[in-house]
Amino acid sequence: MALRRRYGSMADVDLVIAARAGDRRALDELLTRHYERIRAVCCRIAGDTRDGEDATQETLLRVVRSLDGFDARSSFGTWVYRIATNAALDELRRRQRRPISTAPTSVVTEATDTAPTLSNREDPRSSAEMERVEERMLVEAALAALSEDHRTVIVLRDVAGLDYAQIADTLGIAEGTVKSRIARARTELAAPIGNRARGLQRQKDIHG
Amino acid sequence: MVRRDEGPVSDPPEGQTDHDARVTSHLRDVAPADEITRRRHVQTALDAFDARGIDESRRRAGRKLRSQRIVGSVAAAALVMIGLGVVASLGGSDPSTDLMRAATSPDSVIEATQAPSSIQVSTTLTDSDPHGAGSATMAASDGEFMLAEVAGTCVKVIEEELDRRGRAAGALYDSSLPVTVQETTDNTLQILTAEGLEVTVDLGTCELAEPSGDAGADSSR
Repeated sequence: MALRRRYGSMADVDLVIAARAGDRRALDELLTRHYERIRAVCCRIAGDTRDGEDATQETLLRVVRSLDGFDARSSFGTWVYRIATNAALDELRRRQRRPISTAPTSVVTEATDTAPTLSNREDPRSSAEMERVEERMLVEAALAALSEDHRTVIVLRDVAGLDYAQIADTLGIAEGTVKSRIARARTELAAPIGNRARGLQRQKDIHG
Repeated sequence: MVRRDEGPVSDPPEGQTDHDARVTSHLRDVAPADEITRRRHVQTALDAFDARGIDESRRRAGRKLRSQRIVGSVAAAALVMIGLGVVASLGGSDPSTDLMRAATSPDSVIEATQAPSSIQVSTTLTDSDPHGAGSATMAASDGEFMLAEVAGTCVKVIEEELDRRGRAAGALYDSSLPVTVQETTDNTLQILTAEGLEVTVDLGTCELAEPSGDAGADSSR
């Protein structure tokens, strides 16, 4: 327990140094610490849970193989998300080359599984939850419709939490390009929500 | 030509709009992996880390390993010869075995010569031996060696082929790692690299055998 606390309180860079020296527990802590965020980035870019998880596994393996190459010029997180982005894009392209596409498994939260049925639609809480689920599905559809470039930048910004400079560094593009892609991606992602809100308002107006 | 997404645009607003904030919230809302999946992913990476440690040790110990193997092989060959002698002296041997006859003949001269990937045990029989002269070769060991040490003048041809196959399979050949060598015939070596690449070469002609269908590294990695 004390050991876990000790590793848990270590900074990423110290864990990297320890792992390079052969400390397996340090690597375990490092990978576990970043796992969910890596997975979220992979699933969002790949647009599919199965492919996203394959990319997640590939990311962890690439991290292990490349650990000696991490030079700490950027944060470990930025370095890892670069690897995750490439792994997810590789997975995406591999999927596009597959002759028979399988139905993608949606990157859904557990809340979706509890989407309200007709019988409990009267409950205001359920109604709000249903609206949220519908909205999320709209956003996911809009995300899937984005170009690969736009999807990648918005995921790195919103899911990985990288700033513009880090995204530019990760993708090897100019910061201005990052800004413009994010602005356009946001416009495209927010449009369905706006359209839906306007539709609901119109319905209210019609039915009084 | 300016790409559509790289043209001049105004910076995004400082504060996100309500819709943008909701989009961000939805994007972040990814169900966490189940514990089993997470543990499996991390464990696989840790296993790779362990294997990497072994490779590193191998790299450092490459030469030591090779010399130990050779010494061990010579010792093994000597034990075989002693064993043959013991069996023969007990009268339980098959007299038709030339090797055994040669090895146990009091007039034979036994020479153990060292080749990189095998131990060649040759026997030179004297005229007094009723079974005539002959020689026998046996592969006393297969093992790991640095390619340059076993490939002789064919090293360049083999390395070029490994480079080519490694690039095709996405598993670049690392010449600093030892290779596993198996002698398939007298003069043909089957070489397996740490990356899983495989070539078979005739050391006499430096000709490479055609790769079998499933040879080479696992390209899915």
